[in-house]
Amino acid sequence: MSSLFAAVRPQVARVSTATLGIRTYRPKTSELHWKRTGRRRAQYQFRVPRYFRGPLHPIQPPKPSEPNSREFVPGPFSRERLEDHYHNTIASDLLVLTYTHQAPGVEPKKNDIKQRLREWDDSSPYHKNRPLRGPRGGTVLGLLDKPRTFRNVPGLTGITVHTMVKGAMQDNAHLAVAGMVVQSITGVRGTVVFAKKSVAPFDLRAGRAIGIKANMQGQLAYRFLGNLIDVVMPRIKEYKGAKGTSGDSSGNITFGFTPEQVILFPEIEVNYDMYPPKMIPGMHITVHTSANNDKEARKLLQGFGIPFYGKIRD
Amino acid sequence: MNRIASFFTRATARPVVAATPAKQTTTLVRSYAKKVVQQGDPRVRMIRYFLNHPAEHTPRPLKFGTLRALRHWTIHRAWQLFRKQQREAREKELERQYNKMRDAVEALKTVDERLYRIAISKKEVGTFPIELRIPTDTPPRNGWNAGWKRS
Repeated sequence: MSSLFAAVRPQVARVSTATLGIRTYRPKTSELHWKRTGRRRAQYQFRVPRYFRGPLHPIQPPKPSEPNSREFVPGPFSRERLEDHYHNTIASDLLVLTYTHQAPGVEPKKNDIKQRLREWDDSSPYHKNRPLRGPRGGTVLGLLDKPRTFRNVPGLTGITVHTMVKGAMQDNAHLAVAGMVVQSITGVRGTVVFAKKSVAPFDLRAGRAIGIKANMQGQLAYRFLGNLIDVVMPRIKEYKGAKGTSGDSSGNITFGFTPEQVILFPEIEVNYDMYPPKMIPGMHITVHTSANNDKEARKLLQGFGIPFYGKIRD
Repeated sequence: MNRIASFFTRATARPVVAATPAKQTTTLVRSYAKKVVQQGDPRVRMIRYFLNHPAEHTPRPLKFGTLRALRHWTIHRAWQLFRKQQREAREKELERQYNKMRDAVEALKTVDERLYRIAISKKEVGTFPIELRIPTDTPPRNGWNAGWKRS
């Protein structure tokens, strides 16, 4: 500490002034700031750059965990009930429900990509030396189910909220309202989605802003899903749940809410008067899980408490 | 982010200058400034304002003194350590359960071949009951209906 103070302490002449005939400056006690106040801020304060100027810039922003970072978020201030529920109950139950027996000492089958792709039927001389033929009915190979172990129990990895705002084609205000609705229910700033293609029947042209989406991960995702299951879904009249055929066959399940159902979110309801009621959008909610197929993803969501209706497609 | 911000602002209802300022005959004060009339739904205006001005409503980055920063760092490290220990404990618990299950199935194989086949079968495994609730510290007073039966 003494060295730190030495830098600020005004230099006091050591030599007698009378002998040199020079008037030296001797500060009064009241001028000594460091004596007046007991606690002071550190002398050197790092000024956080306002923008990230790339990895090669000499001034780099601090880590988000450091309190002087602009991305620093204090907390967590509470436990997420759904997260705790997952770790206390659902994870081990899922391990039992999706158990696949692997006898000790037996190597699990290895799937070679060459066995999943088809051969060409040599009907043409041009088939020679061609790369293998893609899967039937499409160009995408589905994800493989890995044998269940304690390391790959399905879990929640994120949630995407997406809303396509039809009114945005006429009036930009719809998009702003949708952005605010998405931001308030997710706690994440939404990003604008632009149309990829022109669709003539809808008067939609490529490149126009047509929707809002937001991604959540970790604690925010658990909180959102917990709210959805405990507050919103029970208040929807005659709610059947998510459709049993929903899912992208790689463990992500989507369900939708109409504008009337979106109003039931507590974050919207609390200041419902601040939104133009006709502009509140409906939305799609995609739950991303670490499962590799829809069956296990659906089991996880059923454990969380989301009901499924209709024909179940695995 | 900039793209969004600019997008939200693109067609904002800018204050429109009134074409005909109201004539004031009773007062002697002349208004040189043109009257500003806000157009559009005030709710949409407010929403646009708060979407486009997040920086004015977000706090500045914190500045801590040396010791306070050090204190924060210590707590942060301790929290990270706790999280790591918790994660490892959970993983170990799952591993323990998995190993027990595997051993039980292996033991069953030596005892009864038919039961073993049933045990490793993936058919009719079942799922979580719809009655399962997320536990809460503060359940409602009459939230639990003990006489309830599945219809």
